[in-house]
Amino acid sequence: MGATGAAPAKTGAMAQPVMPNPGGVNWSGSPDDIAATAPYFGETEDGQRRILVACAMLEDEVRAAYAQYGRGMAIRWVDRGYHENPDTLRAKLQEMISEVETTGATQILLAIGLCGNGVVGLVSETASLVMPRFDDCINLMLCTGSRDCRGKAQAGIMYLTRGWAHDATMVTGQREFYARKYGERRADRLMKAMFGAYKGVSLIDNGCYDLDSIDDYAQACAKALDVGIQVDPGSNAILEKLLSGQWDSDILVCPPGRAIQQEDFDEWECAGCR
Amino acid sequence: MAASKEEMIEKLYECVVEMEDEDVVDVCNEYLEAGYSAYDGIMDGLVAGMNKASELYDEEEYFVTDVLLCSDALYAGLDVLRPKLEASDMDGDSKKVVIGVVEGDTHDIGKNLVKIMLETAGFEMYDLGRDVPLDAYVEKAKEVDADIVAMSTLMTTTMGGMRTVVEKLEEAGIRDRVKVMVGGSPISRKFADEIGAEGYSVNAVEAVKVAKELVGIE
Repeated sequence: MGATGAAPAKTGAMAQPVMPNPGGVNWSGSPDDIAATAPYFGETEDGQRRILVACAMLEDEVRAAYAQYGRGMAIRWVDRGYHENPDTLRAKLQEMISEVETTGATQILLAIGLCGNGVVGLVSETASLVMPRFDDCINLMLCTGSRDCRGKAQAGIMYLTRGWAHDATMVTGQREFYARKYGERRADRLMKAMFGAYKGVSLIDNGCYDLDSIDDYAQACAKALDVGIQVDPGSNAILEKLLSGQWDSDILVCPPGRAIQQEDFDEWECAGCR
Repeated sequence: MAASKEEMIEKLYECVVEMEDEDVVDVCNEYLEAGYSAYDGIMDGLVAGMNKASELYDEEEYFVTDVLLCSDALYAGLDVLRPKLEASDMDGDSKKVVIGVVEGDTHDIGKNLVKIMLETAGFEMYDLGRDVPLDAYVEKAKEVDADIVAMSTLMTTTMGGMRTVVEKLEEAGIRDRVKVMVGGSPISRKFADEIGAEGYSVNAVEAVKVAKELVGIE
């Protein structure tokens, strides 16, 4: 691969930016320390100027891919939690795209999924929008090579990575919250109503974080849900494709002026495999 | 002095709005012992209370969990009052809805809210649950002669199942007898139109209006 492979912390030593930092845009939204003082574009051999907009839920995975293929491009982080509301996510992403395109970037890479249609309608007038052709980051991380069907995520499984474990109180603190608000008797009833559909907790082993680091949380979730824990193989192959520029049918490239459509994510290679 | 009918009905209403699923049973028994009409207790007390809870949810005063607990009180009260309904109280003409979360998805909170609200509005509900095999909608719709098939999903990966159900209803030869309504976070009016679903609603409260329109209820 043609990437220079500089570690994120050293990106400041890389090539000069093509454009000056426009209007003092803060490139280092939380939790960034990548490229905070770095060149702004991951400049390619063919002169494309790339900037990455990434969901903080994928921080470990993005950092791992960036270490190999980052080329010093600036990253804008989207706070975790926007997936809860696709409309809010869409508005936030469009705001960031509009801001980023003023820099002269020609390719805006989006490290995010379709996310409940949160990316549908996004458009850049001047840059291509490039993103994984996956419904969400769980399916993206469960993919170990190329997308051979629409998704591998199983119904009723709570998938965890270190990123997803950041929202730690979501499950484990919930019963306590219900008990305080509604009393002990109703707390169990509500846990069943709100989380009863889960039949397992899965750790996605994608090589980007230490599974042991979220073991306590996984155990607590499994206990709260009264289910078992499994480990499912995953990989970082898709984000590596995105950042490296080796784009195949797993990566959606939406040209300037065209909005991302839900249909862009429909399967076409393997319609019969569901 | 015994409480008046109006006072008792007000208590039933409050039990539902205040999520009192245990107290409501006592109040219902007291209400029946006083000789008041079970039908009025249900419609003006319990159902009116649940409608208020829906309103509060719509206004973002109540959370999903509040509505679920209100529905516990509603159902606990119905268990007591329903067996005492007079034959003349049953119009025997309830519209039937088959509802479920499509195969591959287990997110059923929204579906449960819609079920509660449609039931409160007088629909006869057949709940297939979550992760429902697509053929099951068709089988149940045929079995109960459903007026509406209602499907929800929270995931884009499983939306395609809705289209398949519409096709299966067609194949089964009952498409002209049943209306289809769909909902869930990634679903849009546009998608509903594309797959040929007559009804789409953005939330559980609006689902009642949509369902009523579909079957021609005021």
